[in-house]
Amino acid sequence: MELEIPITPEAMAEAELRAFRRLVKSVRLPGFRPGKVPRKVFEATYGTAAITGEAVEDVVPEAYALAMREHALHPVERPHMEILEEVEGRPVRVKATVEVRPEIALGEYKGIAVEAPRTVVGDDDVERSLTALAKERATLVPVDRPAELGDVVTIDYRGTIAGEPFEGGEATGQVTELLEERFIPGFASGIAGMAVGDRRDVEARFPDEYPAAELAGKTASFAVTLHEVKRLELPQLDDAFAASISSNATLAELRDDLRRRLGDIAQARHRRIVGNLVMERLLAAHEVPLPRSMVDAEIAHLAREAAEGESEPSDSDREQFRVEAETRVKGTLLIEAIAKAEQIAATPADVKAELTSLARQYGQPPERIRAALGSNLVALMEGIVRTKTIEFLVENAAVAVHEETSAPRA
Amino acid sequence: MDARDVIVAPRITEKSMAEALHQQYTFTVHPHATKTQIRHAVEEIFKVDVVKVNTVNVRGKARSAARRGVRTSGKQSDFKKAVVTIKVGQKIELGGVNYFEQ
Repeated sequence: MELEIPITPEAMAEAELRAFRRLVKSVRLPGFRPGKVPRKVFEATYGTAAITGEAVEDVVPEAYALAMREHALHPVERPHMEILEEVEGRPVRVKATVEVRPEIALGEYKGIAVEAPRTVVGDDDVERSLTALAKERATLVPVDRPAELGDVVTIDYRGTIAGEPFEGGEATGQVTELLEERFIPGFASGIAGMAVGDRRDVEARFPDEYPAAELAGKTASFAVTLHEVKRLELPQLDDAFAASISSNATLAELRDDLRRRLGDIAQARHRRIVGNLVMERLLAAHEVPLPRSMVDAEIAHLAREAAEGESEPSDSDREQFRVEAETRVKGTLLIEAIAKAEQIAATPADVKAELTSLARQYGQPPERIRAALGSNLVALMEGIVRTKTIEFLVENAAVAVHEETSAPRA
Repeated sequence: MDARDVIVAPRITEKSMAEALHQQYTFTVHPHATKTQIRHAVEEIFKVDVVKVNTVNVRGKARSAARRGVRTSGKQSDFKKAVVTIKVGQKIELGGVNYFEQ
């Protein structure tokens, strides 16, 4: 949008006086101590243009800021200024071209109906976590019996396809847990039943979707020698185990703790899904005029991230990021508008909490973090407002929960 | 001597600027100019009434410098300075610019 801003002679005169006072400090003229040169002498020596030019630098942004406040505009970028009319080298009217944050006609954003899954934590989920914990404390016990699936074995193997060795198909003294899902189908089960010292040829077929294309779908023959069989001995699941692996005193408490944690994870995931769905709905429901400069800035940001600062992004890269950038800018504007409508703001307590959490992450005192942030504190606050707003939206959404039983993979 | 040979140039310094507020204007003048000559010259050039003329012969400052290891010495030129007091209410402008005004 364009804005014509008048500059009063008084404002200009005042700015000139300030400009002169600033400039005079640095001039040296014979007969005068630095900074003591009278204005008349200064002007006669250097011309009035020096002062006027400096004053314009001052007065134009000032007038611009004033005009923005007066019209309650929120520019998204620095303005492009143009002097429309001047008298004796002094601007009288300037034109500012600037993109402003668009007015958004907010539709309904409370009670957005979404359907989202929420995982119900069952007993098996708790037991599975418990087993995973137990495995961390498992001991290996050598056994004198043929290998079984689930044992830890030491093997040599040499694989060939149609008599030809292939890359990665050979190993010596490899210690591995004998699990079918860890190898290509047929390998682990082929080894099961071997006794220590046995040699056996095991046939296994690479799956069709195997990442190495030259191996996918081929059947390989492995010459396997088994050196050692060990059994994974899981610790007794009792109160002592619970106390040793966590701060819980009893196994029952550990179970409750795990259940609670799994529940938290499930709940967080549920809320995240709801948040995303609500945003999707809102994005679809709102028409937002996107300021070009914001989109361009976001595209540049995305492209830089993608290129990891390798080089300046090309135009085709930019196009590629356009849709994503537009969605993001739209989301940002929407969230800002909602935050404003709901008067959601980052309170000092919020900022403090965020700083404390950052401090814990980086292992530094909060004051240090704050100092390091400097002017980025504004960005931090924006982030807080964003999070709070999304939370608000989730709280106020009409969520139809459909419950799932299987645990989310950790 | 012509009036413009008597008056060489105005002296624009912090001190002369301050004195100008009290009707006292300072000029560099011809070394042999007399107070009477200066009075007439100022009255002719600036069309003002001179109340009083004070003069002083200023000795140039000694200057020395080292050039290629050899010390050379010299001095700035001597000159004659005149402080002219003019009638209250009148003022002197130079080249359209009123130098003697804050």
